[in-house]
Amino acid sequence: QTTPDSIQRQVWDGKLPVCFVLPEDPDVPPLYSLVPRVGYFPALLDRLRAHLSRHAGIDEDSPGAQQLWLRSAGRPLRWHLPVGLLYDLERPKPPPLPWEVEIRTRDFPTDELVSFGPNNSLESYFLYCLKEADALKHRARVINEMGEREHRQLWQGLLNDQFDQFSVVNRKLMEGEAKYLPFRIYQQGADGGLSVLQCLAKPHREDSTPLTLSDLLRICLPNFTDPVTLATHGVSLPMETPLAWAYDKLAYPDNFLHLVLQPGRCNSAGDGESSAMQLDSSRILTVI
Amino acid sequence: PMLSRSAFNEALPQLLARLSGRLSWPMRLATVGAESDTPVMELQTSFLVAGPAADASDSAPVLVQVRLHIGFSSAYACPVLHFCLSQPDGVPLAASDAADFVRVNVESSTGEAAGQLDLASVLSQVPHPQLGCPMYTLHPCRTAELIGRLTSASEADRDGSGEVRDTNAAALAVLSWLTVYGRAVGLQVPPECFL
Repeated sequence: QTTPDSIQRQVWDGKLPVCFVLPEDPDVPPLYSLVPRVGYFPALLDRLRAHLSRHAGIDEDSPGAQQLWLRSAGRPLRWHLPVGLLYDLERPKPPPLPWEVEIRTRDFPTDELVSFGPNNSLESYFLYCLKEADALKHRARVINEMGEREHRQLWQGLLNDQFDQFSVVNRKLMEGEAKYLPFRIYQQGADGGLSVLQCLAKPHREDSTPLTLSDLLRICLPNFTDPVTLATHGVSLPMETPLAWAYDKLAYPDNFLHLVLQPGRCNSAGDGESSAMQLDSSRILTVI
Repeated sequence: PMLSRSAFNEALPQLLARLSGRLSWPMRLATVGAESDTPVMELQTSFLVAGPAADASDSAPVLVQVRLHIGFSSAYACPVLHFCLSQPDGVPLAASDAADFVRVNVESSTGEAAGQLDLASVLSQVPHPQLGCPMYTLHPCRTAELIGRLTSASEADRDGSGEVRDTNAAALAVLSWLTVYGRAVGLQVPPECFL
């Protein structure tokens, strides 16, 4: 059920205050924005370009504005990943809020960052993710049965922060028996490298009991013995959580459960450092 | 019948042998990661092809360097292509030029009229699932169906398990798939590879 208080709704509403700065011109004022955790940075490119045009004299059609990219803590932001996931991946720990993100207009790292633009739209990438998730769950039957209009509605719902518009279509993708559950496990290395694990995981074990997160780790990392925690949306999950439950409640709009692997044991069902859900109720920042 | 990652991995050496027997390009098998206990493997190759002409009056052929990775998608249970396109000097093609390159290749092999193909719905630049670097890919959504037909045509599922277990049949199915999908990047699979 997706009532206003439901977990899915809280996940959708989670936002992060971000402060976009332009280090190459310190006179340009920062742009503050409350960015949805489940959204994507490239969706803000038009706003960022408009800001640069207005305050930095950088024309929106100029190569600098067109080849814009983002950096945090000295590393390119892998902006094909949802905003909240990127924040949760920052090492050694998530940065203080507002999250300071640098705008860069030169030296686009073509060997590291996917380029989004008129020939490679974020919408088409989002659909690519949805298709893969449905391929895992339903052999892509549900997404292929949907027409272009419903595909567009999913994207427009996400882009415009319209939960109901999104959910009415997404419900079809999320209901029914799933063959395999779409998830990815991320581990940020100290050197800035990111390892991404994905494998085939059914909702149930051989004996029909629900597959848990510990089972999942044993499948994906068979030889791993160190104590670790899996977290999503800034919240650590108990290892006995059934994967199907976590997926149903905590999947991102791209229909994947994105889990961050952290060293150490999970102490409780909620982490004191999970800033996003608590911050949402305070809403201290204004958007300039 | 469905192709599995392990069947794909087992078919790769034969695929490599069949292709390198007829094509003189650098080609190798690489392990790029692991999925549980199963290695994630690819056939990686690199070649130069003629690109779309910059304009009709150009006499010099435009060359495009294609770096192609032939891998397997567990989600779709079928092979998948990831590729990079650059000028011969290594500079990556601009996104619009890359889209034109694929479009011209697809149109010349299928004869579809210009502008009718919705390339955006099947071609995306995405992070490579294991390597993380940006590469182009063709959405595999219809591939699984094609592979199913190709493998049932070749009696691959002799034990009725629903899975392709015959390595020769798997290699030929992947080769057939490559004959179709490789055209998007200007790859023509010589018919002798099937012998």
